[in-house]
Amino acid sequence: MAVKALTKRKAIRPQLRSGVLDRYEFKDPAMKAWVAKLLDSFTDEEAKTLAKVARRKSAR
Amino acid sequence: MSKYVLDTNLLIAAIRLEPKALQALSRLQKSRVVIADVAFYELMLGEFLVGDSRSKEARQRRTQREMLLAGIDHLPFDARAAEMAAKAQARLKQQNQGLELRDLFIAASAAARGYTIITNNTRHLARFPSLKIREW
Repeated sequence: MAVKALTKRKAIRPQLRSGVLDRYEFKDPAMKAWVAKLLDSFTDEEAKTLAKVARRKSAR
Repeated sequence: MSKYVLDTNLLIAAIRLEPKALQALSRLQKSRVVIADVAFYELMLGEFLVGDSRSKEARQRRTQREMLLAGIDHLPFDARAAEMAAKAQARLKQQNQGLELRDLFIAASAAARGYTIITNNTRHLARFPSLKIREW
């Protein structure tokens, strides 16, 4: 019964980070597609790490 | 046709989903955009510093990044750029000024081809002679 319930449950896909791009009107669809790849290639955690590295660099 | 070099700070801000950065990118045409190889190096640091490289998701993201690299024009740090970087660094030293090395290499890569760099680091990059800069 429990197994059946589990298999019936819809698989929840993690939301793509690039979903945010729908709020922007891109001049060039090819650019939008590339930026989407850029956003989806990184996790939130990696984004935070990159920001820390960038802050350290700009403080020099 | 002149091209635009996306500075690392713009790319990182976009990855962080900052509206101003995404707005700036939305106004560009992909055919006129290049990414410096030095900027790619800076982006790759995120993956290796986090250290999650074995999971299935990490492998997927690595494949995505390979597609990302293949999907846009690269701006190499070549011999001409190296010469310009060295000259600029020597000149800045004489003026008791400096430029962070990665910024120096990206600026030199852009200046060597006469491309415009899109950055929010105008204060530092303006030290690089004859570099065309646009603030995002």
